[in-house]
Parts: sequence; C-alpha cells; structure tokens
Amino acid sequence: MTLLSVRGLYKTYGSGASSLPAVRGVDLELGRGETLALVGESGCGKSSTARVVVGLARPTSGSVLLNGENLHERLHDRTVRRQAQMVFQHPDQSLNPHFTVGRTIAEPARLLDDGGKGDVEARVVEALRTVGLGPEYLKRRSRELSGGQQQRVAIARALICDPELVVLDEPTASLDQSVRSRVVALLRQLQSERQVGYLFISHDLTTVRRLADRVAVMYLGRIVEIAPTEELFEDPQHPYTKALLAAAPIADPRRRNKVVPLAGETPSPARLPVGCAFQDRCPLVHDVCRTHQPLLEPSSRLHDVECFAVPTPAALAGVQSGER
Amino acid sequence: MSAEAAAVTGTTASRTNLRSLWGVVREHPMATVGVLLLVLFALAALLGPLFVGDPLKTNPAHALEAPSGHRLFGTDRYGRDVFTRAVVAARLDLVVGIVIAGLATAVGSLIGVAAGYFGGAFDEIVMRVTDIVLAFPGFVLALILVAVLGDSVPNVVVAVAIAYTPYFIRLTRARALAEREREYVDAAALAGNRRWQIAYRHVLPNSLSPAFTQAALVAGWAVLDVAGLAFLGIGIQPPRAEWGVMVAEGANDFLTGAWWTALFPGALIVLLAMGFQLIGDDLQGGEK
Amino acid sequence: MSLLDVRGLSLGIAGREELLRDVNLTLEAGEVMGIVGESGSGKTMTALALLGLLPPSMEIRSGTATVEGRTVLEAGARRVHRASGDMTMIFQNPRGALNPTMRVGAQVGRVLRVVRGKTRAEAAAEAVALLRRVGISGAERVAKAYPHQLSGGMCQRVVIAMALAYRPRVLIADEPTTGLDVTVQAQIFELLRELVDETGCGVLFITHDLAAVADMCDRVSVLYGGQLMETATTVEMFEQPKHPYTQFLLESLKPEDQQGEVQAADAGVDFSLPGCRFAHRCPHVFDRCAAFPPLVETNDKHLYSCFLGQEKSLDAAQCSRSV
Repeated sequence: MTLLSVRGLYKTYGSGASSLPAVRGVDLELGRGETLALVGESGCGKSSTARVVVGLARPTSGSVLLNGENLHERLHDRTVRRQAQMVFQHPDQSLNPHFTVGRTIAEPARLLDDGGKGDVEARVVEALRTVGLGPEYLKRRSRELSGGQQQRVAIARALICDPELVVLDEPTASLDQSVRSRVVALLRQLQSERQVGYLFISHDLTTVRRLADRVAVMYLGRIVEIAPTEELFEDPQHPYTKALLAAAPIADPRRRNKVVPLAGETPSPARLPVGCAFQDRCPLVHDVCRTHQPLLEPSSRLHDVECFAVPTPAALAGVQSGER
Repeated sequence: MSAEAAAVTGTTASRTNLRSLWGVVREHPMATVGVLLLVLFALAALLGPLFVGDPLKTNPAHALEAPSGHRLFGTDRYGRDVFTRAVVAARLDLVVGIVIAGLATAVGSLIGVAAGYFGGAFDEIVMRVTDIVLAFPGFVLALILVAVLGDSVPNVVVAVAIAYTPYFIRLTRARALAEREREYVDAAALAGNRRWQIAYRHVLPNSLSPAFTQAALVAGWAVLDVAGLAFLGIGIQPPRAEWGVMVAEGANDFLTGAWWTALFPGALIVLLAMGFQLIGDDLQGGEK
Repeated sequence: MSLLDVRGLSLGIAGREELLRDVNLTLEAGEVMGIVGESGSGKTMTALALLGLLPPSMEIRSGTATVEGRTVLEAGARRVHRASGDMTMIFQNPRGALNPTMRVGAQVGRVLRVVRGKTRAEAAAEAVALLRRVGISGAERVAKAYPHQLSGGMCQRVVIAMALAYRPRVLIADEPTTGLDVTVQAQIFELLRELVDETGCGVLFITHDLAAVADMCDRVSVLYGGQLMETATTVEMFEQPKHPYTQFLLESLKPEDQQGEVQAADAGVDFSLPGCRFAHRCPHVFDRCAAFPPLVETNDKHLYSCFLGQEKSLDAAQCSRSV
C-alpha cells in the first residue's frame, strides 16, 4: 500500500476578491522508504502542500491519505498523527529557545506515544546518538548549538516516534555547504535504516539530485512535471523544468551559463491567466495554452508532463476532457 | 584538561568575573544606581523593623521635634518617631509595589498570550475591554475600585494591579502574535501539543521578556499610586505606618514649619520609585 | 597597479582577539573576484571595512586599502573617504536597502543629485535611463513605484541602478541573489556581467555558493575564520586547490559517498589561537600549524596560506599525523 497519497489538493488563502490560490489541484503518491522532491520557486505552492500534508494546515478541498487513512479527519488520533513529522527550514527558529535539547526531543515521545514514561530519557539519548550527537547535548539550549547541530536535534525530534513520513522543508537551505552535505548524508542513512518516506521540499537542485528518488516540479500551484530523478535531470520535458535546470549554476567554471533561460518573474497567484499559468513566460506557447489547462494524469508513477507542447498521453487526455 | 590547568582557569575565571562585573557597572551606570537603591530598601524592609521600635508609639511630650542625632527624621505631631515609621513602612511599600507588578504581569501575560495566540472572538473581546480600561487614567480607575471594594491593603493591591493589567495584556499579545508565526510553534503542534499547551508551554515563555521590563517600571509607578491613594485618605489608613499616609499627616504641619514630617517619607517614595524606574529604563534600552 | 589593493588588513573588536587577520586582496579593472567563505568567515566584514561601515565596536588593527593608488582605508582611522564613489555596495536584502517611503526613481535620482551634482530634472531623466539600463521594462512606470510594489528581483535591479549612479570603480556585491529565485538569479548574474564589460569596473562578489562562484568569477579568494586561505583563478581553484580547507570545501560539493575523510566538525573557530585558524579541523595538521602561516605563491595568481608543501614540511606532516 502507498504510504502517502494526496488527491486533488487545493489550498486557497483568504476568500472572495483577495483570495490567493496557493495549491491548485495536486495529486501525488509516495511509497515507504521513498523520497519525492517537490521543487519550484517562491510562490509555487510547495510549502503550502507540505503544511497540508503534515496536518499543519487544512486543505480547501482534496484529501491527504496516510496509509489509507484521511489525515485531516484523524488529526486528534495520536497513532495517525505521529506518523507524519516535519523538519523545518530554519533550525534556529524551529527549536523553542527556552527548551533544552533533551526536553525538545522528548516532547513528541511524551505526547504522542503511549509507552511508559520511564524509558523516554533512554529513547532521547538513543535518538541523539542516531543523529551523531552525544548525551552531553541533553542539557544544552538551541542558542548554544551551531546551525548543523540544531538541525540534527530537529531531525532527532522528528524521528523519535518512528514516523513513516517525514516532510523535509528546505532542511539544508540555511546551512553552510560543508555542513549541508553531512546533513544530507545523515538523512539518507536514517532513511535506509528505517524505511521512512521523505517528502523533500527544496529549490536547491544539487541537493535534490542527491536525495530524491523522484522529483515533482511545481509552478504556480500545480505540478508541471514529475519523473524519476535522473530522468528529470537528464531529459526534462516541460519548458519550465528546462529553464529551471538551465538557470541553476553548476560548480564547474568550465561550464558556464551563457544564456539567460527565462525572462520575467513568476506572476502573482492572485492574477492567474486562463489556461496554462506558464503561458506568458513560455517559449513554446500555443493558442490552446491560453484557453485550456493542460492536465497531468493523476497518480502516474511514470514521467509525466503537464504541457500541450510536449505530447504525452496525459496532456492529450487533458485537451479531450475539456476545461478545468 | 589536567587538574592543574583547571585550577589555573578557575582563578582566572573568578578574576574575569570581577572584571566583567565592573564592565557591566560601567556600561549601565544608571541601572547600577537603581539596583543599589533597591538593595538598600530591601535591606531596610527585611532587617529594619528588628532594630527600630514601635511605629505607633505616641509620645505627646516630644511632639514635632526637629531632626537630631537622637531622632534622625524628627517626630510628628503625636510624638511618633518619623524614622521608625519610615523604616517600618519600607516593608509595606516595597512589598505592595512588587506584588502589584507581579500580579499585573502574571494575569496580563496569561490573558495577553491567549488573546494573541488564539485570536478570534476572544481576542476581540479582550482588546475592547482593555481599550475601555485604558480610557481611564490608571490612578482614577484604582481610586474608583478602592472606593467600591473598601479600604484595605489587599483591596488597594488588587485595584492598582487591575489598572495596570491592560499594559501587560497589550505587550504580551503583540509579542505572542509575532511568536506564533515562528517555526517552533508548528513543531510543537506536530509534537502533539494541544492548542492551549502550545500557548502556555511554548508561546508564553517566549513572550515574557517585554513584560518583565514593563514590570520593573510598573513596580515604581505602583509605589507612587499606593502612596498617592493613601495621601488622599483612600486605601491604606492612618495610623498605619505607610509613606503616603505619613506625607498626608505631615502635610498639615508642613506649613507651620515642621517640614521633616512630610519631606522624609516623600523623599523615600521618590527614591524607591526611581530605583525601579532606572532599572526598567535600562532593560527597555537593552531590548532595542 | 591594481584597481583595488588590500594589504595586511586585520581587525577586531576593541580589546578582544582579531576577527580578521592579515587579509590581502587585489582586484583588477573589469575583473570579478569572488570572496568565498562559510558563515563567520569574515567575508562581509571585509566588505564593510572597505566601505567604512564597520560597527563602532570594531577597530582596524593594521593594513591599508587603495583604489587606483588612493588610500581608502588605514589602520586606526574609521574611514578615510567614502563619498568619492570609488566603491559602492549592493546588498543581500535589496528591499531592506531601499527606502520604503520613497519612489524608487527618486531614490536613484537622489544619488545622482548628491554624488554627481545633477539638477532635479537631469537626475529624474537619468534615473529612468539607469533603470532602463538595468533591464527594467517600463522604466518610467517603475520609477514611480514604491519598493513594496516591486518583486525582489526588481528591487535588486533598482539597487544595482543606484550603485551605477555612483559610477563606482569597485562594486561590492554581498550575496546579491540570496533569497531570489534561481531563474531571477540567472538574470541578475547576466546583468552584472554586462555591466562589468561595459563600465570596466571591478566586482568583489561575496558569496557562500561555490556554484555561483564558478559561474561568475574570474578569480576567487577563500576565507575561513577571518584568514585568507587561498587566492587563485577560478579554474585553478576548482581544479588544483592547494589549501586543505579549499580542498575540503570543494570535496563537500561531491556526492557523500565520494567524499574523503574530513574533520567537518560544526565547531566554531577559536579566534584567540595564534596559529592557522583551520588547524583544529585540518586532516594534515602538524606542529608548525601552531604559528600563523604566511601566504605562499605558486605562480603570480595563485597564493595560499599553509605550511603544507613548503620546504620539507610534507615529511613532518606525514610523521605528525599519527600523533
């Protein structure tokens, strides 16, 4: 059975004239021990999707199924809730400055697990050990730790209840390069030991390529392309994916960017055009893009593209099924 | 580290402590004066009553004696020793100031954090009520409340505390509004905290620092208010040894030349309020 | 003579240890020099010192900086002269660098009036021209906008236009694309490259992102813990790094399974120690590292600060590694 299944997810902030559609119909599936990366630029809806998936925000419509159970209907059920945890973007902010490391990590174990209170301390020490920190850190507070250590503590907190799904929201974005690769290595090691599924939110394509099994590219609230990682990087199909990959600088001075891949900036989600949201920046724009929304085939495990200019069965089906 | 090395760093550490203490004093001269004043008042409040006599003991034969080596602050119209009464009153005024500030901080922060974190109708109601309370000058509000509740030390404390509570509600609410957007609040929700647990375990402790600063200032103002109420004959009543009461009693003799009966307790009120104020000002400056 | 020449720059908080020690940099006209380092390496502090913008608690212990031979920085003095417009800076947070209550055209115009002595009308016209120059379409309209009405990328273009109004010889760009989307970053990089070609100014490009360095810079200087570790052309730095720290930094770009054993402790730098500041993490540390390593020159453009590879010291390193 799939671990996580997101169906027809919409998330709109505000209402009426000032409403902001952040997520506009996202479907995805994630298996045990698998990493799916959600990639895109600011305002693409990747963080909103993440917050809905762990239950921090409610979907406007659509559902999030965790092991077949609807997460948002079972939010008060500890056995469901502890299955989905999250590691945040700013390790200095995600730890309560008044809590010791020990208390921070112990909190989910005390509140979400039924187990006796006696063994919590031992479990905290064990959790610290798995993220490479010794028991001497128990009494410290977050301001006494470096960014990398703070993020290790946050990972220990996320994993202490043995969740099956961990959402990683740009977990390495605020870390230095050398610390970043060690945190990525830790995340991979923990995944192979525990078969935890990662939903990995990032705009850093280098890290995505290292950590993810599959990648979904989002633009203005929709997944425009989804594919196995290597396939996406080697053979991107959607014009936006191509631009995104071309824009990222490569750490090799002999392979410099000579062309600017994309003019303009992402438009505001408050003023979306009819049809494909990418139409105004797209080099391949076609008349049909201005009238119809291309569609991905739901829950496809294959390489899928949401674009009329790239003929895939899913896109053609989108034209036939009419407007959205 | 070897034991020897530890010993060496130990001594240098204590020397560094002394030096850094001097550094703190040099950087915060006004706050140092405030701390010294409060320490002095605390000592007087704690130990003073053990050394002086009965503050209520009248002695008509020695009424309105000017200050002298024997009677430092002179005597009042009933022949009571002003110094004795001033020292005994220190305990009352200091405790009243601190308790009022503490009460207003505790109640105000609890309400403020709840309003800021939960928002919605509760927040709306709390804000409108504080608007109404703040529309009255605090002193007048306390005056009305004491008039309603009746004259007694606890009633004065409650009345003045109520008058200051809205300040703490506003401060902690504003801070809680900012804190609830931080990632640790989301993390706390995922750790299984219920909403009230997030509010009081996570948001509250991180929203208190502006309230503590304010508390130091409010303690000073509260001393002035309590003394002021007593001066007007409301709240703490004669013949109890309280600075405001003493100023009120002495004011009548002030015009006839017995300046000491009102001046000394009046000066003490100012000094104590100033002690709190200097510390509060410094804390506020440090918060940028 | 180099366009910018920084010699032996040391600075620190008054009465405390040195935070930046003996930093040497040169920058030629038309060149982009990357200054790379992790957080706390002193890269931003170097820039602030050059501009005379150090916080009051910091003092310059020693060193000089010259632009085209004119002294802009001396030990002891806070700032030598700044209004000349020899150097100017674009910041990490462009929206924060703009005045929120002033139309952006007027902000560019103000620089033109104050620094270049233009009249109000001339300044307004030239401000629009500058906004157009930095690739803003509809410059007349944008000139009348307030910063909050513009996107982050647009704000950074405005900040660059303001910097251009100074006609600087040296442009310091401090993480100019942090927080911007990658497609917008590519646009800003392209703009900076064009401006260098066109005006012949030199750019100090401060970043922690090695990929951005590879993309943008002609030469690179690597800082760690306030110490200049290595300076080389970008290609040489990526292909033949000499300093163990540079090697370690480049290593961290590789996939984890291909990385060598490195002491990547998250530990901070102890600024009070007299020796090499990377010593506590360095896999090749040996007895000489307790002293401060001087800059060694391998060729005229490649310098590094390490005892390794200097006369016979390799043997010593081999011996001491087991200790």
